[in-house]
Amino acid sequence: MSFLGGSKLNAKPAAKDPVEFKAILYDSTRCVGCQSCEFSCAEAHGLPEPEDYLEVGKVRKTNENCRTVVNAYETSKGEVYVKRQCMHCNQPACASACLTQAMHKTEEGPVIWRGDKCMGCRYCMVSCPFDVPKFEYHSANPKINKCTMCFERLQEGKLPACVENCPAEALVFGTRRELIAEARRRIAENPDVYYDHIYGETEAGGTSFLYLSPVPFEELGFNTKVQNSSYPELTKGFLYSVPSIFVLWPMILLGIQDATKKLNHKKTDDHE
Amino acid sequence: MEAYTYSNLFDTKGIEYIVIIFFLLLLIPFWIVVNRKSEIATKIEEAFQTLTAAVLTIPRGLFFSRNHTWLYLEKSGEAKVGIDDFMLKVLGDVRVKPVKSAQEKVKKGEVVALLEQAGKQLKLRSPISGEISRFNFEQTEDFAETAVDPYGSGWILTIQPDNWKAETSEFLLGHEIMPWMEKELQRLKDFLNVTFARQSGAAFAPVFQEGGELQMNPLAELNAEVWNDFQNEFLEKTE
Amino acid sequence: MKFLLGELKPKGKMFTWFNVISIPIMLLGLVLIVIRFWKGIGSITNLTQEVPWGLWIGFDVVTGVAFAGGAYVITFMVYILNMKSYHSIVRVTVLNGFLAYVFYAGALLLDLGRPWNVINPIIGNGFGTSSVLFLVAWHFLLYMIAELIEFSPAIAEWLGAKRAVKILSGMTLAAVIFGITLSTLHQSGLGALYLMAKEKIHPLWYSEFIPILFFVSSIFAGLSMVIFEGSITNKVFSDQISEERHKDHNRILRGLSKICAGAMFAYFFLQILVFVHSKNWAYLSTKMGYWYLTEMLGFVLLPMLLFYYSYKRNHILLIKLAAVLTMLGIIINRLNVTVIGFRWDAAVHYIPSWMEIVVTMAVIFTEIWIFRWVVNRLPVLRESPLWTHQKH
Repeated sequence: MSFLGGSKLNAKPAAKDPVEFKAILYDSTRCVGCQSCEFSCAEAHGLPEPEDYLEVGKVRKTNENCRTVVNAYETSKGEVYVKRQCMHCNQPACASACLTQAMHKTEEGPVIWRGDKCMGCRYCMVSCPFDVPKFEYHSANPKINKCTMCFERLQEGKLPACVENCPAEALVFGTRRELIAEARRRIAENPDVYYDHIYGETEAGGTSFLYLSPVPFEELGFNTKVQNSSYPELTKGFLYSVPSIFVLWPMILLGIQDATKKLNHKKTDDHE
Repeated sequence: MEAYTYSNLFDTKGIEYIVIIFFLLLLIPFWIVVNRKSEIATKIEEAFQTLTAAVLTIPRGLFFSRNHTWLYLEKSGEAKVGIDDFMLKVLGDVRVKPVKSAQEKVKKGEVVALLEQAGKQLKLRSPISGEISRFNFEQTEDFAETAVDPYGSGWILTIQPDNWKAETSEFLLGHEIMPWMEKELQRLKDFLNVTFARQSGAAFAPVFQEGGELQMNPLAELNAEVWNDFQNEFLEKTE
Repeated sequence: MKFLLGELKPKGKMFTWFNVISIPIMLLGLVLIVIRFWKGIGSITNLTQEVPWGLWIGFDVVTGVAFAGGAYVITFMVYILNMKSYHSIVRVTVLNGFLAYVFYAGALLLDLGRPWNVINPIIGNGFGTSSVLFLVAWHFLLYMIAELIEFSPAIAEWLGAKRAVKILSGMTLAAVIFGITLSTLHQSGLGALYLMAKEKIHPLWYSEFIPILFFVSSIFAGLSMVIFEGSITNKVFSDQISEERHKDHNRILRGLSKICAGAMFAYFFLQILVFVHSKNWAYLSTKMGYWYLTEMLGFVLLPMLLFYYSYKRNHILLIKLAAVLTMLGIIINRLNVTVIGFRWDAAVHYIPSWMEIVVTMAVIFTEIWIFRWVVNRLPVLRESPLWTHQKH
């Protein structure tokens, strides 16, 4: 069992069997709210550095220049910090919504945005249950901005920037299977420290960004009404009826047309 | 749901759309072929179509003379004259040969044209008196027009009538036409019966199908003598 | 060529009410569009990261396409059911449908962040087959082609191309069948677009049956638009329409009102079924609940009853009133799903900026200008040239 902390990558890539999803486990009991992840993310992606600080009562959001934020919440167990960014769902609504496949779920797990294909329709934004993709409304050539789990860095064998730079080891990188097992282990061994739920295990059909929390997730601003099955499944019914209609409708219409045209032939000619 | 590897909910959608495209492309020739056969079948049907009153087209607004000519009084005062659908369906393919010319005067009952077919002919008598304005020369050369539109573009000649009201007072109009046509069909059956009785030995087959109904164009198969008899029976009355 | 150039010259008066109002708006809209391309969408819209689709999608595209549904319903009636009595309105309805799709697809280009990439899903730089929007986009394209084929005999008649008229008329049935199939799918598809936004749309308007509701309502939305627009064009272009057609018009209106009444009856009960299925009782006593009841009772049930009554009593004015009410109801319904009910709980509600409204109106006015140009020159309302009638 090799999972990784803030140090070197250890695991070998799976050679022939299907690649397992990579994931990140975030433990808010360990997070100290230092915002190092925000700074290293901005640096790694050429984005402006965050200028504001955490404050209880102020909910900061990601935007077209910021891919991740940490917020502070006053909870039943004191002040708790939460890092928010793209959840990298197993069956992402955004990737299923994207008609050009610009939003793309990679085999390795991260959901990335491919700018050469994007036409800026913002359907991904409509569909995402977590409101993650952010659009450059004031640019003539607008981009979509969101966390990509540092996919380019992963290709180079490096860790995501936030994971690498977290001093408190709140962020852990590994395969989803390993991380869920690790999260369960932590809950089992410290039942009074953790709230017994891994957010992301089943939400939206399962995500690759997993959360552990000391308190119920509603207190940390999480949307707990997110459904536990994947969002693209909601469109499956419609999309699967499309081919049937394409086959049936022409036949039915031809049949009706054939049947009704004979009704007209019986009438006597009517010369003006 | 605990998924650990990549799976695509919609991986077959692309192929499905391609199948649909094929389906639609194939549907067009499929439908055309299916229907084309039935077009031929309908033509065959028509060829064997029984000559009943239901098959005859009866237009509205025309006067009918009892020698199977129709008249239409135009707003200009001229009368268009032609032969009816009964005649066409009984005779089959005929050519119209005028025996009078334009601007000639003609009396009611005088022969204005001949209906010719393979050496046989019938005399077409004018239903009214007047001056012939012109013949529909297009039509006299090309039979097709008459067959398709006997009451419209298939007219034969136009006459400037001398005495329209008096001469047409006995003509059939509107609801009178259909019963008269049915009677004429019955008369035709009887006529053909008698003809065959006289000319025993001639084939029954072309005339009577099962059920005793007339086949289409019964006179086409018969000789000039029968045509003469037909003339006397059906085309001499000009009321 | 000379013929075409001659046709390009304007006909009719320059300073009509319509021209005076529409030209400044169209010019202003043009300016705004330039700004939009220069400074980004955010410079003239009130869209936010939480509400990425606003008036242009919710009204121009979704509602506009619902109103263009008249084309597939009328062609269904005339070419499939062989109801020849409606033949006189086919051409103008198909023209309207075609122009509607062209202009609303055009309006959609304005809403795209990178409109030049719109060809990507067409040429294959990413076939997002899992996406409902992919389906809708392709259907729009194919449907515009089908409508063009259906309308092309009128163009060929105008150009005097006799052989072309014959060939194109032969393709009409295929184009109609294709068009009806496509319409069914993209009318419902526009509703299916919102299926994944489950928690973002108010429960009274979100259900898995949105596609079916959109499809059924597009039937009477389209017919109401046919009634509304037909009444206007009959007045404006009355010199082109023969006596016979004028008298015919009222009979057609009556027939359409009967169909509308029937479709709305079915739709009303579908809505009840969806309501019961979703167990939305608790919401009725909220503000949104009252609004929902207003939409259902005031703008579906009421016009349905009006259609029924005016059909029975042959009350032409009431038919037109019912059509207007129905159209308002469709606008309300579509906006409820896409804009009003979408993120109804957001801290800052989305309200379209005046600039979005001006651009929308500019698009609609441009469409009407093109419509007027076509109707004044092509045999749409007037009879076809004589040589088309000589078939024998």
